[in-house]
Amino acid sequence: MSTLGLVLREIRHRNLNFLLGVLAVAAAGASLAGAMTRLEAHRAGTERILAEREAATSERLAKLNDDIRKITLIQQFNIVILHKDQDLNAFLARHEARTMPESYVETLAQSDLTAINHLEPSLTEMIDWPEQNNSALILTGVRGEVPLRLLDAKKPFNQPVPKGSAVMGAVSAQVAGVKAGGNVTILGRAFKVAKVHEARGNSDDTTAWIHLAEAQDLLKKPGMINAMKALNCGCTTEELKLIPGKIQAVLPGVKAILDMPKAVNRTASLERAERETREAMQAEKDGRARLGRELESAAALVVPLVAVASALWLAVLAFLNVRARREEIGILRAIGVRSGKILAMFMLRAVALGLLGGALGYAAGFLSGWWWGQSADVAGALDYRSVFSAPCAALVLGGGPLLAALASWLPALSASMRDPAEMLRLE
Amino acid sequence: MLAVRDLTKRFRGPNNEVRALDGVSFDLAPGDFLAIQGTSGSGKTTLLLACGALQRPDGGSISIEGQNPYALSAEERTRFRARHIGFVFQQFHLIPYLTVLENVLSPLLALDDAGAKARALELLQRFRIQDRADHLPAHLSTGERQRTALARALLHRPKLILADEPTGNLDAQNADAVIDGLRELAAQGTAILMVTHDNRLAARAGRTLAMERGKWKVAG
Ligand SMILES: Nc1ncnc2c1ncn2[C@@H]1O[C@H](COP(=O)(O)OP(=O)(O)O)[C@@H](O)[C@H]1O
Ligand SMILES: [Mg+2]
Repeated sequence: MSTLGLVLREIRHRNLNFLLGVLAVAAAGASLAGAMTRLEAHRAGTERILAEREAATSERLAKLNDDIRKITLIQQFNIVILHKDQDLNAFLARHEARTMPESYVETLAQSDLTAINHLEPSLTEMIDWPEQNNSALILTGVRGEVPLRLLDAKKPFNQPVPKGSAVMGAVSAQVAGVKAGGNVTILGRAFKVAKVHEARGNSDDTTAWIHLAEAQDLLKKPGMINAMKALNCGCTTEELKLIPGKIQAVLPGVKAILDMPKAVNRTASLERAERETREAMQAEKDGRARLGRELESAAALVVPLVAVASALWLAVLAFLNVRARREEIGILRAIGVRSGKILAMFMLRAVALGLLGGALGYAAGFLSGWWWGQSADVAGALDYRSVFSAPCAALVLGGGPLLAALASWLPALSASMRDPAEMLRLE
Repeated sequence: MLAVRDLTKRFRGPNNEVRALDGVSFDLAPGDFLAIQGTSGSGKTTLLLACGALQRPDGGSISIEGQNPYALSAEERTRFRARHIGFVFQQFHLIPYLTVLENVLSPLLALDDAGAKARALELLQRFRIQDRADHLPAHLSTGERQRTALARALLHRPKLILADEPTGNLDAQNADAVIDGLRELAAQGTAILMVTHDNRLAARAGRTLAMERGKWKVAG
């Protein structure tokens, strides 16, 4: 008959008291383990959410960076479209140009070329100006810019020159001795001078711009043009190289000459996107931290409350147990069992109760904290290993017996100190 | 064996002081079987507990085997009880969750003894409860319970048995069986101090004294 054997027999005998005590310890253990596991789940969930978010963010940032790199290299360019057999030297030196149908403009406009917004078709020819002693005049017929994209229709176009009007370069105006508002005759047709440009120091100065239809008429090239120009087109570097080929694919009779590709920096908006992405990440972090603090303060309130309640409950149960065992304690003392052994009996019982309650409470707390963490958290399923904490297990499994021992201490001590004679006299 | 001189014990009641023992003296030699009679409240239990090293008297002296248990420390006195004294009570005071055999062996919690197990089985035989060895007290008759308590009291072979109304809850037949057991022990040299109400059973003891208000009743 060992002390432990006696304790185990007593537990089996008064199992209700014992089970109620186990439940009290289990409640305290479950609340602690549950809270700690929930916090652990929060931590694991946060880790995962942030890792996912981090991955998504860096993916997005990588894409942004890629976009930035591409967009940084966006090109602005001008394009000149000429007849495919046009000799460039002749075109540039003497403004001699082979003609092509004006309908090319519409053909190109209906193509799916996105890089070109609008085209300015023209018919240019260097003539001897009969009305001015056959001095050289570059006569250019224009009809303004033709929008290729409806979206861009609102852009201010180069104004067409109205029929019956002429826009004069500085030199040609001087040759004719006219000013804006005056009249000028070209190839026998009179034009009202709509505007005289300032001297530009290039061939524009000896140019006269009139309406395309009138130029076609005067130059006897109806329905024909010899150049199409587009200014300030935009596309990425990769696209840029393909543009002449694409134009030539749409219009096999032309050659397209790119002019002045120029990189444009448009990174500012992307930097903002990057900053916003980082801010969203930080907001998520802050949100998780705030939720974590809320959980912690809730746990800091609930766990001690449950622990105190269960300690009181355990003390009451221990007191009732001692009360029920007065006779037994009296006889054990009478037959010579030391008071220390009586105390040990009660403390062993408390420890057994605490171990069992702690284990049950830990299991219940761990499972519910785990489950709660998974269902309440956006993180989804969490591996049990990610929410397991050895310190938590140790705390609950060690704390259970400690709680039970502390709560039972006073009743047990009083039981061991009671006068056996008094207990033996009880009826 | 047991020498009691001028023992006094007072209890403070709610409004008066009770002289539970008021100058009691007697001797008990090995093999003596002394029955103490007296009305309820006359101080019999107090005397028995005082002799059992469980209730410190206010005055007088007690010597058991030449030793005053109240001169010992509490620890030593507890050990002293385990070694020298066997108790039997009217309410049996069996431990409800231990079997008959375990109850008989329970003094081992106080004092280890290698031969105790064999002796316990012998005691069960002697008190005819060997068939009940694995039963809990709740399943025993009152006679079996008291015989279990008696076997427990004898496990460490005490020189002094203190029995407080051991037959108080028993029918005549079972009471006689207990007295038979005690007489047998006395015959083997154990000193026995028994409190009883029953004149018939008291007459079966070797000697009888009567108490009244903490004193021996004169001309008893
Ligand atoms: N612990 C105690 N406190 C106060 N009075 C007590 C106490 N124990 C016994 N008494 C009183 O002492 C007297 C003797 O009691 P007791 O020895 O039990 O008598 P008996 O066993 O002969 O019936 C009684 O009056 C009883 O009420
Ligand atoms: Mg009494």
